[in-house]
Amino acid sequence: MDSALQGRLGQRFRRDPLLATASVLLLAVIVFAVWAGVSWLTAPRASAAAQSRDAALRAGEQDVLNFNTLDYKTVAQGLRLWEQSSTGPLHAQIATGQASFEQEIRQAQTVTTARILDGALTSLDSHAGTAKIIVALQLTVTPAHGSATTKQSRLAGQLTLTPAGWKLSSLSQVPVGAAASGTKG
Amino acid sequence: MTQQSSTGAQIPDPNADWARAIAEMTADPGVEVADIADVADVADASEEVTVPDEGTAESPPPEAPPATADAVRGPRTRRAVIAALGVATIVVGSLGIWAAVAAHDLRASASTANSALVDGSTTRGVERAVTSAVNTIFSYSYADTARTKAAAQQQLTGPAIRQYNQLFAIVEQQAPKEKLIVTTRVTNIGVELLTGAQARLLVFVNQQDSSAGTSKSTYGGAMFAVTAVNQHGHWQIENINTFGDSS
Repeated sequence: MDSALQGRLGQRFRRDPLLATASVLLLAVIVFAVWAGVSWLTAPRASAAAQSRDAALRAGEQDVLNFNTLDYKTVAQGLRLWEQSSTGPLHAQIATGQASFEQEIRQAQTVTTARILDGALTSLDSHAGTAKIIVALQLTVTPAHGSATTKQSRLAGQLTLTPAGWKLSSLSQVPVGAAASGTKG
Repeated sequence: MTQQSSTGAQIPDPNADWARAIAEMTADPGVEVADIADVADVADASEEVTVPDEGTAESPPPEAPPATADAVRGPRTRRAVIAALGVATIVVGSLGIWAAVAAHDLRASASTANSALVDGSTTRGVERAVTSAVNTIFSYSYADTARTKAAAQQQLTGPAIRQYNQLFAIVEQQAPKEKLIVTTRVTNIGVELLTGAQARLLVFVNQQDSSAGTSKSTYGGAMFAVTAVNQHGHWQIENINTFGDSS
């Protein structure tokens, strides 16, 4: 049976080499395409979680930067940026304390700028839309009179995913000393 | 007969008339003469048939019906089939090339992709390892600084060894003088980058400095970025960046 079929095909291909070549080429290309398709389907993809993590870290660092940038000459503008960078409890805190804080800064006459040294997420729940962030910050405080002082600051915050992206729902300095870590010795 | 037919073919129609005339003249209507006329006619006809004869001449082999089918389908159908095969080859081939390139790109980017927090168990693993290493190498007692230094060598690799030994040289001088006992605890740690056997972490630590002489404790905090490499399934600190100034 097989040899008969082969014989018949061979005869036909010998009679029409162009048709034979075209058929063989198509067959080879189909085999290649199937292999490439399987390879593509099984290739690892950038996960949604990875994209979520990168977005959270980027937004979180920017929000922390916003919260550590304030010029007494443009306090109202600066505080509006704080409001835009926050959500939940932190947002409420700013809203209630705004008036007194504004006055404080105006009296102190300081300009605060910040630089992110490093930042990392310490946890991420992309389903719940929550994350924790730590940021190493360098703060420069320039008073109206006198020279600027620079200090490093360790900050920890919580991020919440809102329709307008990741925003800070809490932010605080990591305390130094026995109170912060489990006391030992 | 064939010779007769061939000559008959060359003899024009008047010859046939002439043959008939002879046949009429002869008493018995000879079969042979009539035959000659017939043959002449057939010869004429056969000359006209010779051209289509070539087509049928090749088809006779009875065991190859596909050939006759091809002949019936004609060259136009055959050309269409070849063209269709060619188009299909180009389309399928293009799809294949696209898929192969896309798959290669995906694999290339995956090998350098950051799996921090996405790969939960590896993230926790490197966090645990670095936490333990940092707690060990930055905790010491004035009574036995050598023990800490020796333990540190197993947690460090590459440039971190030199960085640490420079730092620890000060400790070796100061600690015995002040009878210092320093306990370092990691308070916060986050993995920024995790690619294969490499990781970068941001670490916050608190330090409790106790002086055995005064029983007084002071507390301090520090932050630094750590690069860790996984060698033989074991994470080691390769670099410590204290951001220029660790307070």
